[in-house]
Amino acid sequence: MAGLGGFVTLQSFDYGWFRAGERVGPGMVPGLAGAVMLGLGVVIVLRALVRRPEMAARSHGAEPAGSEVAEKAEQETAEQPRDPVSTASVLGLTLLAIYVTQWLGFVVTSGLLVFAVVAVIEREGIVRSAAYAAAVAFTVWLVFDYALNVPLPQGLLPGLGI
Amino acid sequence: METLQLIAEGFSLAFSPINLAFVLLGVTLGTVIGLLPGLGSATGVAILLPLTLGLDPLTALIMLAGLYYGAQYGGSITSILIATPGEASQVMTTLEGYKLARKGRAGPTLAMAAIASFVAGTLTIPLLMTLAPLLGAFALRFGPPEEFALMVFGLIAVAGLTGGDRAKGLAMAALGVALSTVGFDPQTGVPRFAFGNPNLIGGLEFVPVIIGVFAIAELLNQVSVGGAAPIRTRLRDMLPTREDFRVSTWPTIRSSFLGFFVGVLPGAGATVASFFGYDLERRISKRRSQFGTGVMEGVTAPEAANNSAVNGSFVPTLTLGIPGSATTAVILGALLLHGIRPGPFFMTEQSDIAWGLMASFYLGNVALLVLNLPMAPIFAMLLRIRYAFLYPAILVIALLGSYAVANNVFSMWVAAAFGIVGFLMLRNGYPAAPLVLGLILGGMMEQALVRTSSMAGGDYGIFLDRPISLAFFLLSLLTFGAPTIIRVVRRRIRREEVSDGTT
Repeated sequence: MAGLGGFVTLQSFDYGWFRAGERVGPGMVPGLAGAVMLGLGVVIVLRALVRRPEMAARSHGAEPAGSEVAEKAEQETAEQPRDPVSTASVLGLTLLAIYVTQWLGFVVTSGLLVFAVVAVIEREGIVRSAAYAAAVAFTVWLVFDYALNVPLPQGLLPGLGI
Repeated sequence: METLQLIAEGFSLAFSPINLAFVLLGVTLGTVIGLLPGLGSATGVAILLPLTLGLDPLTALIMLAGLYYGAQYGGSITSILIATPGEASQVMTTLEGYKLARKGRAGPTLAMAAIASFVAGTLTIPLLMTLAPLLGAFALRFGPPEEFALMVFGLIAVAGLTGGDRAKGLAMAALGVALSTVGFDPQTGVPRFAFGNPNLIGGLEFVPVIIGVFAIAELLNQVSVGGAAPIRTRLRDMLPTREDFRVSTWPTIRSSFLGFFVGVLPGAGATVASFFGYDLERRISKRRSQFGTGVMEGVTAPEAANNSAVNGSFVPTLTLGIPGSATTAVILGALLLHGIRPGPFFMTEQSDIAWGLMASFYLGNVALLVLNLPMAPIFAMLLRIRYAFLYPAILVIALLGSYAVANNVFSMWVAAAFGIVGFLMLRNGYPAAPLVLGLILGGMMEQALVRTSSMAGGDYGIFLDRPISLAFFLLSLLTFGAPTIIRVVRRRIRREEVSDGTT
């Protein structure tokens, strides 16, 4: 956060904070926002460094300090079991789907994405996954392309994007 | 007396069988449109506007009112069921509504959202009818310095919204404002933070960002913890309980009036009103520590506020001919298309249309409740679907919604990128709502600041010279500083009590 804020602030000086007559220039608002991010980012880091010994003490029965709701939420989040492989896989498939939309069109891509997620990541049966993916793709085409005339990406092959 | 007569005439014109049929049709179509993320009520009304062109002006307005209310409620459905806000004003509904749905309370939450919206409309439409001319005059005193100060106050107030870390909240708000500056500077044409990418020159659309930080981030989060179990609720659990009504009554009433008066202010709109409505209830509630975990008043307050804010934003639209928000801008366009000219003389020279229009708002409100209240348990049954099948469909809808905003594949990349950002934010306790508000308000804040500096000739003391803007800045300081001061004082008192106890 601090780093990003610093970058934004530095960049804002290139755009110019003021125009003629001390009026607001293109750099003022991003510069102010960046300065706030930088300052608060430093505060958050310093606080985290200070709180580490406090949290260690709390695990030995000391009273909690600071925002209890925030700390409880963060603790609960940290304690939940994680499945990074599935998360990364879903993310990867999503990015791939966006990439191939330009060739296959959105309708076909959405069907393939749903099939890949349901069959491969969730390990549902091939037939069931294929049927469900086809239903989703058809619904997308029916509602957005046919009914609402939203110009969906068609892809390179005629008719494939439907 | 004359006003009462005019109101009666308006209602008698609106309540004809043909108008009733069209309002029901409008609400149904609007709800369907609102269910589709990325479209939103303004876009939904714009898409369906051509359907009204062949109709009598009053009938057309009645159908448009139905479309609008339906689209608003459709967005609430996706906010609550799949953490995908239909538009910015539904972000606060998502925060609490989705958590309630995951607890198996989707049906009651959907029902209470509809009821809160109805109550807000019922309470504030008469205000619109009677106070519009007076409030229009007040709205004229609200200039760029006041708009800027109000938005600063809104951002600082929202920083502590979720009860969490205010520093992180404010940092997110600042990030949102920084993101809003991506693209051409409207004053000078200087491209900012585009780095030569033509897709960034036009700026970041906020809908893909919202879809990313809420829907996609939540989806990734659920996948990472092994997926959410299907929510199997009994039929009787799909209906609101007496406790739901008890905890929602006063928040709904308070937020209705708060939202209406916020909506009157130019530049504020339903988004800011929903944040203020939520924040007010969080601050005064006896169970404020539970906000963020799924509390009913955390849904009914912002729903009431955003519905009444739209009525409020009709004040400058109808009395001055100046739209108060994106949705009212579209509806203003619709009015002009049908030969109706809002403005200072609208209420007097076109009183039959004016009062008929007000009556149509009420009719749309009633139709929404009648149609959607019985449907709430049916919508809630969506959550019975196994998450393994549900989330891929949500992913497709999210990507589609992102695309539909600008018909641009780049928007899908934006949604995916902010999905990753939102997931990391979730893991590290950074709230998403301030980011979204900063992104939405940032552009308007900058415009207000630029106009202020132009009118003041570069003298920024104007903010302190004008009482309304000064009041908002003082409120901002108080809002920002008060929790810290209170905490320091409490700690000192506790230390004194402890030392008194040991001596």
